[in-house]
Amino acid sequence: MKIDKIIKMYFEGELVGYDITYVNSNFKKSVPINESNTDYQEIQEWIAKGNTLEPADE
Amino acid sequence: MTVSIKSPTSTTGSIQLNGSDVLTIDSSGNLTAPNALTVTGTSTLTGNATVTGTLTVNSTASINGSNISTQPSFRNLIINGDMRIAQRGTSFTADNVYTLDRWKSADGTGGTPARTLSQQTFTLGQTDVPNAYYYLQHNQTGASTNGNASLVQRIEDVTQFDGQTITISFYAKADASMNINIRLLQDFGTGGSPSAAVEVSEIVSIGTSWTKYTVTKTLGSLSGKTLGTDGVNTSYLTVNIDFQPTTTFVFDVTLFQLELGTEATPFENLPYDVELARCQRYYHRINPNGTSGSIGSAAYYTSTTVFVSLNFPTSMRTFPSMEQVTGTDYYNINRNGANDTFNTFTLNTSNIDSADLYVTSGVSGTSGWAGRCRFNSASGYVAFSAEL
Repeated sequence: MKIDKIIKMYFEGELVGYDITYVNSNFKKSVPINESNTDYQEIQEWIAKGNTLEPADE
Repeated sequence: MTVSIKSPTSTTGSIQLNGSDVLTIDSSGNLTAPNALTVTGTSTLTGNATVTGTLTVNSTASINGSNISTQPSFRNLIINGDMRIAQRGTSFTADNVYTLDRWKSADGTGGTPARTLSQQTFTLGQTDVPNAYYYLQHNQTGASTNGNASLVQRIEDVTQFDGQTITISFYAKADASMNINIRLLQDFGTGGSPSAAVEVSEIVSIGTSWTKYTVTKTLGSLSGKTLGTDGVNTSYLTVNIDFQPTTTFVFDVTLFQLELGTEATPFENLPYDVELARCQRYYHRINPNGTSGSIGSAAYYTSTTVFVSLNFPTSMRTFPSMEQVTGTDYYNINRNGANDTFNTFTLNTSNIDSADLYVTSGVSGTSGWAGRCRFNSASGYVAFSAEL
């Protein structure tokens, strides 16, 4: 599945994770900030490739 | 070589080889072999036997007539090797996704050949694959242009494979003879500067009828290697089944086992609940029951924000991601004699044992209300993934 967008998620001003949505899909992932989580690792790789996070959802 | 019997007239004594004891007998009649003892025929012990070194049985060992090697000992380091746990479903068409529990259908080096993976069942009473009911079928329906697909399982914690000799065994068949590459990678985890992965591999030719295949390999020593700083539970041994054909094919596999040592023992059948719990360390899914079913307890944090708290059935490998399908009114909170339906959750926090989700759209109530969070559609689900 191809990533559509990744959104930073904040709760009461604190970054709590990232929501990933996919192209032509109603499947969604919520990813915690955790170095051992492979989804978190993939987000860091996705950013390192020059992709841009969507504006924060507060 | 001189073989002698020491003190042959005594009630104790020994058999010596070149002056050293190889067998001794004490006054009670106990026989001791101070060095290695090899029995090539059938041996029956009616008294107690104590082995202070390593006992190797190359054939069958039994206790009271029960075959020891078929009893659960968690010697199979592959999880769901009999392909029976299917929390995500039983048929998959998307590429590079997890399929049956713990098994990922991965793209090769850039290729994304069209394929369907599915859980299949044997006819009851079949004898081609003893004691098997499920198998995994990889049906590649499109040619791969610049890389092959593979079937992958990652075994947590590379430190248990320090220079170990391991044996892989499995039953497989294909619609036409084909080669697969069993490729094993010792991966040293993430964070910091972990050592590069170490690889060993072996090509296996698969025939068109169910056959048991065995591969024995010695993995690399960990001496001088560096683990990533994110923890040992980010390191793993990858078991890849790399498909060699670039055309279409059908490949079936089951009873996949990886164990330490040079012998392929019979497949280790674990109780369903045990195997499911092992899978849930990496993936745990809550499905609806029809169009309803409980997800967890809810509490109104504010008038427009609801928290839903969940405890996992087993500790997960790491803080998991939450996975869900979103849709109009897929979910529901019963509170104060009425319902709030909504479309999606967001993960607030997770740890290895629990998670807090929150909802900020579609809910309206009074801070402090309690409720129960339920499915409102057969299409919804909530899952937690801590896969490697």
